[in-house]
Amino acid sequence: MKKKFDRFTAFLVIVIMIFGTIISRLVYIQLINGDDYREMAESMGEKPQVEIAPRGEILDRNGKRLAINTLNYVITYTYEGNNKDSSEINNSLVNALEIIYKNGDQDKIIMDSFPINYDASKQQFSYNFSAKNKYELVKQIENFKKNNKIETAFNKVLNYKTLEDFDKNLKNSAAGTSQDEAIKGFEEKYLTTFNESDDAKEVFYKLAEKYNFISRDSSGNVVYNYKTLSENLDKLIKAVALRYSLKSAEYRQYDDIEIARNVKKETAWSIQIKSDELKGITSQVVPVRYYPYGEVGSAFLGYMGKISNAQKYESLGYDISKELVGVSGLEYVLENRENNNYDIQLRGEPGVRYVKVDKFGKVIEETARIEAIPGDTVETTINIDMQAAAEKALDEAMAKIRNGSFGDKFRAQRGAAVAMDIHTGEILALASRPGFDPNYFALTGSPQDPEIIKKYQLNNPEELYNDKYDTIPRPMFNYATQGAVMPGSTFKPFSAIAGLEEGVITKNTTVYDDGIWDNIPGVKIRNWNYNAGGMGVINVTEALKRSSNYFFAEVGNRLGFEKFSEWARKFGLTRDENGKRPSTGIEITENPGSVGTPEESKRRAAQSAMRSIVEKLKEQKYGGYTIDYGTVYYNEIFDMLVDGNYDEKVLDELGFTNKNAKNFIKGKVNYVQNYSINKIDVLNMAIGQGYVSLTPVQMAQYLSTILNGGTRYRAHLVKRVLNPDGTVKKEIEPEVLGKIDLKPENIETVMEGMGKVTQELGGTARSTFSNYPIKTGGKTGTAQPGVGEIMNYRDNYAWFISFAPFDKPEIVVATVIYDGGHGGYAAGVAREIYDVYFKDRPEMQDFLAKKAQSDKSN
Amino acid sequence: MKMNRKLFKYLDYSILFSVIAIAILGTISIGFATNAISFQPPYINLSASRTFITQIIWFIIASAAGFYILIIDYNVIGGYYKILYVGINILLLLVLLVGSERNGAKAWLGVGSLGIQPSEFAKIITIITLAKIMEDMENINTPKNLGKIALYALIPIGLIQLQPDTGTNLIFAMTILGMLFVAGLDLKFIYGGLIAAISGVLVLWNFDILEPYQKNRILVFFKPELDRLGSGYNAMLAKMAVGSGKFFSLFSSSDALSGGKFIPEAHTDFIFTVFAERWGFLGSVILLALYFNIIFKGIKIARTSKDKFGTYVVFGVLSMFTFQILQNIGMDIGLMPITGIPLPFMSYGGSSLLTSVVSISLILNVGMRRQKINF
Repeated sequence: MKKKFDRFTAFLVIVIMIFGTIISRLVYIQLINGDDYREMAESMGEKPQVEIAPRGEILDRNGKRLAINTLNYVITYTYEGNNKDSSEINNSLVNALEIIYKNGDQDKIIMDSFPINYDASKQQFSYNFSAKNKYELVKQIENFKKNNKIETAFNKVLNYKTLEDFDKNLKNSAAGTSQDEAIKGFEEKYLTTFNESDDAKEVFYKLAEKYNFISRDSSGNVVYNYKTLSENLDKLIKAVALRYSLKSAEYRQYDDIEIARNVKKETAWSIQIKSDELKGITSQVVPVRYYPYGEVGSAFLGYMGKISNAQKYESLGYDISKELVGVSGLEYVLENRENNNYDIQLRGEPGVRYVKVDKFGKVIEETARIEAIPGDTVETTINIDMQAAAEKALDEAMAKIRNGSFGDKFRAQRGAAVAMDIHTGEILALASRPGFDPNYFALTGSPQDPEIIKKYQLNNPEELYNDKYDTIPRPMFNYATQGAVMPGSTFKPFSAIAGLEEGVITKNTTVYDDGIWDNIPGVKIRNWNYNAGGMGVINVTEALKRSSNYFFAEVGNRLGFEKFSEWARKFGLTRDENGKRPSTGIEITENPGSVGTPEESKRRAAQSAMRSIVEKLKEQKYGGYTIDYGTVYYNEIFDMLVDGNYDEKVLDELGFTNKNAKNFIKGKVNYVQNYSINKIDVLNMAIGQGYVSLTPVQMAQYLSTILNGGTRYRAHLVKRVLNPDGTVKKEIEPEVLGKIDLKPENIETVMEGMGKVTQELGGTARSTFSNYPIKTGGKTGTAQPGVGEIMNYRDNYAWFISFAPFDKPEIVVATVIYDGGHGGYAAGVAREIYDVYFKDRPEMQDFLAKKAQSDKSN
Repeated sequence: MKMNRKLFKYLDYSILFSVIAIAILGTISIGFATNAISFQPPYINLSASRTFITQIIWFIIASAAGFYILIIDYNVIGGYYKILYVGINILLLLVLLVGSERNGAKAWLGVGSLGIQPSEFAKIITIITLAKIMEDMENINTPKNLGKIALYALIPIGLIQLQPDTGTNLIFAMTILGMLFVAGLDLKFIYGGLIAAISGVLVLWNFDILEPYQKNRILVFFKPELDRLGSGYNAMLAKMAVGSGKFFSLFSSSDALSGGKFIPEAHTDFIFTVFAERWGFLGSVILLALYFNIIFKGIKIARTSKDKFGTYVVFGVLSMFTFQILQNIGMDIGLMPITGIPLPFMSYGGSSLLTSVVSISLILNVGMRRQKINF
C-alpha cells in the first residue's frame, strides 16, 4: 500500500498547487490591481457623455457681440468598437486624407503632437523641439526616438546609453561653468557630425515604414503601400503625423480624437457619407469661440487655451482632454465661479447623458439626462468703437513716431491706452499694442501657423525671460494692466493736489524756477528743458502747463516724504504694511505698480549700507570679520541701521570690538537716518521719476479720483450679467474703494493747470487739441527709463493723461507709448478716443465731417 | 432495502456543509447575475426571477436524488454499471440525432429549462464504470487492461466530441487521468502520455482538426491583446469583473460588468465573475476554502475506503471537481483559456447541479461505509 499512499499525497500536493496558483492570481488581480480593474469596469457599463454648455457671450456696453460661439466641423477618430489593426486604421486615414485634400482642407489637419516638420521650400526636415543648446535638443530627439524604438545612422556615433549616462552624471554634478564645459565637451565629441535635418528625415521615413505606409524593396527604395500617398510628400507626412497622434492617444479608447478642425462643410459631409470606407472616422459639429472684432479688444477679452492646471479643472468637472478654457482676460476671470468673486460663469454647467453602451461601444439606451445650462452672457463697460479707435490710434501714433512724422524718430513698438468713466470707474476702452487675434487660439487652444506663433512670441519663453531690459514687444502681454512704468510728469497733478491740500502751496504760490532745483547739497533736479534756462516765476497752473520739474521738486520738498506717501496711500497707490501691491480692482489680472514709501527707501538705504559694512569689515584694519547673511551678527547690525539706534554694547556683545569697525557702523547708521537720500527719492517721485511706477489703469483711476471730487471707484469691465433671453440677471454697481476729502477749489486749480496744457500757447499738448471743438485738460509725461534700459537702446516712455469735457469732466484717458520719445506724441491717441465718445455732440459734427472728408481724400 | 441509521454517524458533515454553503452562494450569485435580486429597489425582481427559481427547484430535486443515492450502498450502484453505461451512451447518441443546439453545440435533450445535458451525467457514469472495471484488475499497467479502460472511456468521449463539446471532454481526460494515477499507473505512461499530448496538440494545430474558433480561443488565451474586442473580450471582461471585486465589494460593487449585459452567460460559465465582483478576494478565498475542504476530506475518505472501487470513484469525482474548479475559475483570471465548463454547485444548470450533487453523494456514500479499522 506504500505506493498508493504516495499517490494520495501526490494528488493532494497537486490540488494544493492548483489552489495556491488560483489564490496568488487572485491576490494579483483583486488586491494589487483591483483599483485599476474597478476603474476600467466603471468606465464601461453606464457611460456618461458630457455635453458642453454653450459658452456665455461677451458684449460691449451697447450690446455689440465681442465674443460669441460658432459651429465648427471637426473630423475625429474613435478607437472604441474599431479594430486596432494597423491596416484598417491606415485605410481609414488614407481615405479620409483623400477627402480632406480634395476639399482643400489639408491645413486644418491637427499636427500639434508630431515633432517633425518639413519645410517644402527648403526641402528640409527638422524637429520642432525647443532647446537652449544642441545638447538639450539632441536629448529630446533621442528620447523621442527611443520611445518610438527608432535608431538612425547618427546612433552609431552616439547611442542612447552613452547619452543617458552622461545626462545622469550631469544631473549629479553642480550647476555652473563645469556643467557648461561638460556639455561643450560632449557636443564636441559626439554632436559635431549631427545633422538635424538628415536625422529628422531618417526618423520620419522609419516611422512611415513602422506604420506600414511605406516599405522598402530589396535595394532599399521606398515603396508606397498606398498609391495616393506617393503623390506628394505632404500627404505622407500628414498620414504619419496622424498615425502618431492616434498612437499617443491609444489609451483614450472611448474618446474622440480630433484629426482635423474647422473643415469645410463639404469635407464633413463627404466623411459622413463615406463612413463605410472610413472605419472609426466621423465628422462632428462642435461649438467654437469666435471674436467678430478679431484683434480689437483682445487685451481685456483674453483668449481660450488648453487646460494647463489639470487638477483644478478636473475637480470642477471639466473634460480636460477636450475642453478649452479662458486663459487670460475676461475669458479667464469669468470662466467659472472659482475664478471670480462676481458669481459669473461663462462656461455654464455641462449637461450629462448617461447612456448604456454595448460591448462595441454603441449606445443602447439613454438612462438619464441632465440638461446643460448655458453660460452667463456678460455685458461689459467697453464701448467697442472707442476700443477700436484707441487701438488704431495707438498703432498710427507709434508708426508716426517710428517714421519721424513728429520730428525725432524713436522705436515706439508698444503702448497702451485706457479710457475710464470718472463717475463710475467703468472702463470704456482698454487697449494694449501689439495685440493678438484670439481667434487663432479658439480652435485648438494654440495657433497652428508658425508665423503667428513667432509673431506672438509663443515659442521662446526663455528669450522673453532673459529680456531684462524689456526690449521685445509682447503681443500676449497686457501693457494696460500689467505694464507698470514710471509715469514721469503725468504724476505731477498728483503732486499738485497733495501740495494744495496740505497747504504747502496755494493756487497763487510762486516759485522762481532757474532750471535746476539744487536746494539740498548734492541734489540736482533738472527741468526737461533746463538748457534753455529756467522758467522764471511760476505758479502751480503754469508749472503744470509747462511741466516744470523745479516747481514740483519744490512741492515734494515742502511736503516731505511722509506726507507725500500719505497722499499716495489715500489714492491707493502704495503697498500696504505687508508689502501687498495696490490694486485698481479691475477684474482681469493686473500687475500694478506703486509709489515708494519712506520705509521702502530707508530699507533700500539700509541694505546698501549693510553691503558696504560687510565688505569693509572683511579688511584687517576693520577687524577682519566675516558677516554672513542671515546670521545673528548680520541681523543685529541690519536692525540697527533700520531703527537708527546705534548701540555700542550690542556690538561688543556680538564681538565687534574693533574701533574702526564700530566707527564705520556708526557712520552708516547716521547715514541711513540722516542722509538726504530719502529727500532725493521724494523729489524724484514728485516729478514721476524714481521709485514710482504705475500702469495706465492706475493712472486713469488716480486722475478720475481727483476729478470726481475724491471718490476712488473700482476700475471695472463688467457692467451687467444677462440671462440667455437677454433680460438682466444682475447689475454690477460701481464700487467705492476709498474716499478722499478734496477741496473743490484745489480740484479746480489742478484742472485749470491741465487745461492750459491743451489749450494755451506753450502748453505741452496744445498742438494736438488747439482746434478741438470740446475743451479738454491733459498732462504730458516723458519718463526716462533706467540706465540699463537706455544702454539697450530703450527710449523715454511717452505718457499722456487727459480728461474731457474740460468744464464738466466725464471721462479720462491715460496713454503710454514705450520708447515713444515725448509725451506730446501720445496725445493724439486721446483725441481719437474723444472723437468716438463725443461723436453725437452737436459741437463735434462739423469737426467730424471735416475729418471724414480728409480721411477720404487720403 | 434496509437502511442502517448508524451509518449516518459516519457521514462527513463538513463536506455536506461545504456543498450547501457553495450552493447557497451560487444561487445568490445567479440571482445577482440575472437581476432577480439586487441592492437597489426593487430588491427582488420577480419578472427576472425565472432562472433564479428554476435553480432553487433543481437544487431541491438534486438534494432528493443525492439523499436517495446516499442510502443505497455504492457497491449496489456499482453493480448496475453495465446498464448505466449502455443507457448513457444511448442518450449521447440520441442527443446527436434529436438533440437541440445551443451556443454552437448539440448537447441538449428536451427543451428550455427542462432540457437535460446527457454529457454531464456521462461524467459520473463513466467514473463508476471505469472504477468498476479497474477494481477487477490486478495491475492496470498491462496493455490489455489499459486498452480495456481506453475502450470504455473513448466511446462516450467520442460521442461527446461529435456534439462537439471539447470542454467536457477535457474534464473526462483529466478525471480518467486522476483515477489512473491513483490506481498506480506506471509513471512511464504518464510521461509517454505527456509526449503524446504535446505531439497531439501539434497535430491538432497543423491539420485543421480544431475548429477555427477553438484555435482562435487558444491564440487569444496566450495573447489576449490580439483581439480585445473579439475572443479576448470576454477574457478581459471576466478579469476586469474579478479584479474590481478588490478585497470585498459587496456593497460598493460597481455592478457594471456581471450584472449588466457585458459578460455573456454570467449565470452559467462566468458565475465566478459575478461572485468575485461582489465578494472580492475575501469571498473568493472562502469559496476556495470550501472547495478545498471537499477535496481534502474526499482524499481522506478515499484513503479509508473499504474497497478499491470506492477509492477509484472518489478520486474520479475529486479529479473532476479539481479540474472543473481550475478550468472555470482559471479562465476568469487569465490562467486558462475560455471554455464552457460549469463550476460545481455554483453554475446555473440542472444537469450540472444534479451530476455534482450525485457525485458528492457518492463520496459521502463511500465515507459512510468505510472500513471500521484504519491501517
